[in-house]
Amino acid sequence: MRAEQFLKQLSKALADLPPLERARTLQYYREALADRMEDGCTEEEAVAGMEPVETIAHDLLQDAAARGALKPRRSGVVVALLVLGSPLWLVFAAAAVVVIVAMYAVVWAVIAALAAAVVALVLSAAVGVAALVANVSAFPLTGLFLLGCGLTCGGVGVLLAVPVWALIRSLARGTAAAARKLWHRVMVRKGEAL
Amino acid sequence: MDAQLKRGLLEVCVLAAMQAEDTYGYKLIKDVSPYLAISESTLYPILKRLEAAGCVTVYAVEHNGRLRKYYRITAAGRARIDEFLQEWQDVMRIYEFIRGGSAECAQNNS
Repeated sequence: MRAEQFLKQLSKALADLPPLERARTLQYYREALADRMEDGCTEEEAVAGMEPVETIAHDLLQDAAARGALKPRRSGVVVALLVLGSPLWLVFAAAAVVVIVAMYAVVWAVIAALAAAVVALVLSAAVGVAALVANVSAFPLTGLFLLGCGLTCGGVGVLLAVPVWALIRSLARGTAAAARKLWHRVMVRKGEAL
Repeated sequence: MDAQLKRGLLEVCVLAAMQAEDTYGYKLIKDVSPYLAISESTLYPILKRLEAAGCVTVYAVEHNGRLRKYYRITAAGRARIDEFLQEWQDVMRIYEFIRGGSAECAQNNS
């Protein structure tokens, strides 16, 4: 094997090393071959005197991995599959997002309905008072009855207001916490990739 | 020879080979080979470690139209050799103990 061939093979085998380290290693072996040839070996003999490219590369890569110096590399096949399959999985991902958002909206809608009911009940008290006022001259008993109903509804509304308010607050807090966690995860992933 | 023992010895051998004068890769291999088997790929990480530990400095000299890297031992490198020689006194005592022990064994069995 010629020297350039050996060095080219070695360079390929060391593709995962950081570029500076790879360059230094190749320079070292280029020098080693040159020194042997100066000492009287032919080019073939000099290359034959080296260890096989696989052995050299394996030891160097192992050492670099132990030091944490290897470049993380995503397999080309995986990237290709992701790109080619994107029309399919993008659609599914979008559908999943829509479903999750819809479910979330439903939860809020239920709570909104409960809140509306509470408001309506509380307002009934005011309506009851208005009904009394409207009927106090002509039908005072009816007016009183309507006032009673209104006040009862108002009381129920006030009682229900407490748990409904608690529901609203816990849902709001839960959403904020989940959003923060998701944001944090996204930021950490970005940091690792950098 | 035990692989661990050999690795420990190689580093000091490389340092010793540059005690007298600055030297370069191929010459190091030629000087150490009669005592301990060493190749370019074994030498490379040793030189890197020695340089990282400050036992050796590197400089380049122009030689036949190309640059050749020369290695020079530092004070720290010489101290490392002395440390090794001191430690080896203890190793020799242990060696004598093992040898004496085995000689005694042979005597008792005969």
